[in-house]
Amino acid sequence: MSNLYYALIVALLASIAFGVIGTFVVTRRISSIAGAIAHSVLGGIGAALYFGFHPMIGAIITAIIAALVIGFVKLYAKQREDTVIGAIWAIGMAIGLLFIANTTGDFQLEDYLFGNIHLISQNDIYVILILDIVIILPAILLFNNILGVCFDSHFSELRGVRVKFIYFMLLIMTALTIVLMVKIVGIIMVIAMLTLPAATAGQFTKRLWSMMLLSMLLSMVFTSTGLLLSDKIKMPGGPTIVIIAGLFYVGSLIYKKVKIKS
Amino acid sequence: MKNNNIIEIKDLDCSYGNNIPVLENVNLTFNELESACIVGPNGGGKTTLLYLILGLLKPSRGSITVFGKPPTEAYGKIGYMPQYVQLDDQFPICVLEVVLMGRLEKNFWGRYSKEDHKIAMDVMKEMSIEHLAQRQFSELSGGQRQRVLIARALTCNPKLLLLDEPTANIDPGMQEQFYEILYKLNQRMSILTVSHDLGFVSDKMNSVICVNKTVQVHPTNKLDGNMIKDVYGYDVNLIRHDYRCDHNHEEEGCNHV
Repeated sequence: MSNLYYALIVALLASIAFGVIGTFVVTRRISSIAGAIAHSVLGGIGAALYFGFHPMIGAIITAIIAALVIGFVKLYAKQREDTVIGAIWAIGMAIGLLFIANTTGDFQLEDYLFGNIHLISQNDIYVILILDIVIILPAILLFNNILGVCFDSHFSELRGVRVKFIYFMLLIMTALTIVLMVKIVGIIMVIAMLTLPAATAGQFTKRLWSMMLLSMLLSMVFTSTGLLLSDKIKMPGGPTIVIIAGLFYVGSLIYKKVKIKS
Repeated sequence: MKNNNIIEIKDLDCSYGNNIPVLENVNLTFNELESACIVGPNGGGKTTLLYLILGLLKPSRGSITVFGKPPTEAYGKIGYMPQYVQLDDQFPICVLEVVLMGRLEKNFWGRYSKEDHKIAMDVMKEMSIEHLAQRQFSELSGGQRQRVLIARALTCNPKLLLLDEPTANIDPGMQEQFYEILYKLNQRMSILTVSHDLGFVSDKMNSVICVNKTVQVHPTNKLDGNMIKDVYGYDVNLIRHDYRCDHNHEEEGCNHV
């Protein structure tokens, strides 16, 4: 079976998690945290290539570490959050680049930065299926608690909700979600798939769950049309997907503006 | 007889990281079914006092008990209404979902039962917002949002209602209506509100708690310009809309300080 076929399956499966978590990222306004986690993932991929274990495992471990560090700093260390985000963003990439500079092998740095469907194999489908379940199950089971924490964390805390637990859970779920699409759109552009479908969906929905469903659907449409189109016009898949998502997002903003005026 | 002080604060200091106290040597008692308005200049410690009572902050010295327990254990009896401007006004959430949030008790999964839904509907009827149940929170007017947030606080079935700047961004007509609502609620629960709006320390409240690093309590009917000056440290323009000249039947008017 071709890589395009695997990539399509991976994209459709990953879209489920992207719809759910992207909605949290957009409504909770943590896209810069998600950006830092995504970029720091290069550190784990670099270490994996250097020491010779699977890059996906390296990516998952670093994503979780980055999420925990940002969470602890935000809740306990009383440091400027955006400074810490910038530090993790750059240090993670620097570690990855140093490892990769010392590794010889048949891989291209660009493949991880910008995505390449040739990295995808049948095994990825199983990994992504498991991660999908790990991400979506808590989101469904704890939906009311998460909704409460995202909308008004003080009030939720006063109702006995474990706000810190939910916050860390969201960060870890975000970290795992980022890993799902790294091979398709790359670590630099993965943030686009976490925000653009959800932000577009947010223009047309009034409830959190409907925003999730619509952004899931949009993510599926953007990734699959992007992959098929890029194959047809012989262009890289990641940028094609991001451009399609971006056009839809800008289109939705213009549509909203025009609709309000008329 | 049971002690009916529901809030007791003794010799309390509170400071943030830099050790400069925001509140100093605070002593305060607050009784059952009492109502009071916390006033004072910005940065004077109003919100800090509120957060201490809610258990969101811990004092650096002294003690605070709410219903005879540490504040974090008393949350079941407290209803809290934040300023709605603190909430994300683009958040996709409907009124019913906001009101139900008051039923997010310590059950791990946070599922709502039929009873929770019934309580939410009853409270929304009381606040005359049941027709808004499916509307998006961000589409509502300031006055409507305020009633939604009170409804949410009431679903906790509180014995003490805490409100943070409830009349901010509300037009004057609505404010009057709002104090009527508070007055009614005060028949069955104690009410503590924070306000920056001195003109509306209305006669619906029993007392005024003036906070500017230290705390002083005054009955509302004795509030006058000199007290305000003491608290703020400078003259403020005070307009008492509710001033009644009982002795000589002069027209209701303004008393400028």
